[in-house]
Amino acid sequence: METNTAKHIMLVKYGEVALRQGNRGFYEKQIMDDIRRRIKDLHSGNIKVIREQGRFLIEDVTGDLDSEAILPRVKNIFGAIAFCDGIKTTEREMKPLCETALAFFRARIRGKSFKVVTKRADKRFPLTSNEISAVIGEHLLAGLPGTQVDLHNPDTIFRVEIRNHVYFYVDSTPGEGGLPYGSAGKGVLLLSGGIDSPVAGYLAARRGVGLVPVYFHSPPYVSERVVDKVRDLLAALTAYTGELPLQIVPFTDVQLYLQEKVPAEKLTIFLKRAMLHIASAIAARENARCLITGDAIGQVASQTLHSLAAVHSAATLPILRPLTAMDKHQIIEIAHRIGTYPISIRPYDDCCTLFVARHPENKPNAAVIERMETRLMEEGLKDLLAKAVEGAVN
Amino acid sequence: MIYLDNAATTPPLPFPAHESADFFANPSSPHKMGIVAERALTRARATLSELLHCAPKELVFTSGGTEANNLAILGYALAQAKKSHGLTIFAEPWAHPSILAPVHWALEQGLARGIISPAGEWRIPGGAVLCCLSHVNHETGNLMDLDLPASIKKANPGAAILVDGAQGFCKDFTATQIFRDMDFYTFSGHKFHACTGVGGLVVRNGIKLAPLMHGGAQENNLRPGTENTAGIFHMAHAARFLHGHRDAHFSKISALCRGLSGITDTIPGALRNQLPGPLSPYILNLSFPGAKGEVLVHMLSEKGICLSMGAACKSRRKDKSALAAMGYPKEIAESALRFSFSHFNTPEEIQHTLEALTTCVNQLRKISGYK
Repeated sequence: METNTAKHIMLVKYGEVALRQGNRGFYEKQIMDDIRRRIKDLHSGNIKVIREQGRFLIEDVTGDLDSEAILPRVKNIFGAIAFCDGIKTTEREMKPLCETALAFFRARIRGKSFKVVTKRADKRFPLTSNEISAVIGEHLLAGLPGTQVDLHNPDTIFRVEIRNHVYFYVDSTPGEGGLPYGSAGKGVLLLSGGIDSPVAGYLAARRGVGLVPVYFHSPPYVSERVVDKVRDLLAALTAYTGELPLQIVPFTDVQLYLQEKVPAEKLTIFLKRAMLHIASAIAARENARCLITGDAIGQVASQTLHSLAAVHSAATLPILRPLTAMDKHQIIEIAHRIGTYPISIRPYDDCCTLFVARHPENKPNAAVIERMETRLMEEGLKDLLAKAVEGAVN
Repeated sequence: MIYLDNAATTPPLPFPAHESADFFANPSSPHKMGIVAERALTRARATLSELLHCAPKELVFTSGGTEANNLAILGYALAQAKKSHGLTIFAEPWAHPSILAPVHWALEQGLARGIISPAGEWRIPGGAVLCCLSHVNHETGNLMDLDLPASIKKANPGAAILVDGAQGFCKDFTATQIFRDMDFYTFSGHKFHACTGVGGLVVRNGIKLAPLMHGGAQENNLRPGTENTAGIFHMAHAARFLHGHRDAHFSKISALCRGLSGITDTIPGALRNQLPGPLSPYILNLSFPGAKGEVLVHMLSEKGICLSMGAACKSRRKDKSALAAMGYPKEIAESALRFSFSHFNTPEEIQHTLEALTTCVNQLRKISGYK
């Protein structure tokens, strides 16, 4: 242990959640439960996660916390904005606090200059934040020969937090931010195996949407390996979300039917509409409140504004398109960061390449498309879609 | 399941039951069990070297054909780098990636000064020459032009000839001349009913190679590591078995290949892909324009028929395939299927494949709008 009265702990900061007036407690509980779930197998009941006046405190009741083991498990939790590796002391008197601060910061100073920043959440503490910083700063200056205080551009910032207990730390690891996973309700994610849709799923999940991933499979025109690829993509996302069971929709019959019934240049739009119909039905079954796709405006013929307008009415729920306004390189950057990119670029043909027209229409007329679809629905498309929904299994 | 992907790998023969498998010990160990293992290894080496028309000490066991090709090409390039004015390598642009990749790597590393297709100019002024040929082409089944080694050696005295025998050894028995003309011959156990993870390289006596790995004196100091005794033993057994049944297998497989290639008469536009010259019946490369090879493979796989669209080593990458290198247009190369046979295949299987293939091609052509 650092000193007789101090021990290593981790403080977790959370962002927006703290601003939620009515349901702050609900969000906080979600994050704490998530932290507990992720570290459960690392200990035998000795590690506690508790609320600490606007922070979560992770501590080992038997002694110092091994934060290096904890951090990789918890750093992907949505809702947390930083993880601070520091010490906790039960002291409240300035003199011993100064001693503890010196012992802790001595080993952590970088460069020559420093400043002390104090946050006093516990207003019962007799000194103000600035006064605490001044007293501790003075003690450190005396105890760390050759250093100086620089309030504007210090090499190291020593942080002091006065809460139920007193905490010292220097560095913190940034978290993902966002809202606790699943806190917003569920959404059906349409996954293709490409670069975009996993990124769209990640971004929606980061805003608290629980994912119900769906993949449209067309055997034998598409390799079984694409299913493995989609599962691998989901496995990469589970680092953020936890388990993500995939629903595989048998799509071959719908695809062959539409291929036969509609003009080649309109096929993509009809296929997309069919997918949205099916996804909406799955959403209803799963109590999901939205659909999530990887569309970005103008990326391909089926993602022009005209095309988006022409598929819109097939969905019975709002379609979230987190990538709408992003450039491809921005999407790729995120895909790299979350680890989906190398999986997405595995070169298997997907259904698109076989069934797509050489020159698909990029300004489809929504009214015409809808009229054609209404007729096809009566002629048998409706039954095929219902069968696909029924056949979608984990 | 109907397995027609024998150029990718073959079903292994059962381990000979009457043979003791008690040679797990290290053949370099001094004790009794080590000696038993060493004897098994010596016996296997004797069997294989006889079939490869070489002396036992000219045979180096490796983990397979890819390693053998790398050892021959890079080992030779490294050895030559010390003494000559630069090595020029002949390589067919449609050769297997285990030839082309090390050749290009040698060039990048400055170990070789140029790569030339053997169809072009043969005489290289000055420096050493390594010529890489394939006994049987892995995609089309084309047999090697047997006059090439002599022509190259005549134009470039001292040129070394490497023959990649992965698709030829234990399958084509006509070209014994290869074993006379070559300086390196490589082979891969799992292409002839042994297991994966074992293969070898014949290095003509007197040719210097530098080892690529270090850490043991095994295999004439060329390939360190404890020998895969059981794998090598089994490989020798498979090679002997195939040599014993060569005539029966050859006529059986020729008939299967003829039967399946008949589809070019019944499906309009279908064609057999090949370079001019004689072909091995073990590999049959067919294109069905208007039906994408990758999709056909999945469709046939659903119907229990396993084959590939060209070399399996390339099927997961979007590199230029051997067919594209041969000058076939994209549409033909993309619609190509590679059927490859073994003596386990039957005429019934071929009949079934013909029917399934016809159905699938017609179905796909309907979707793609092929006329």
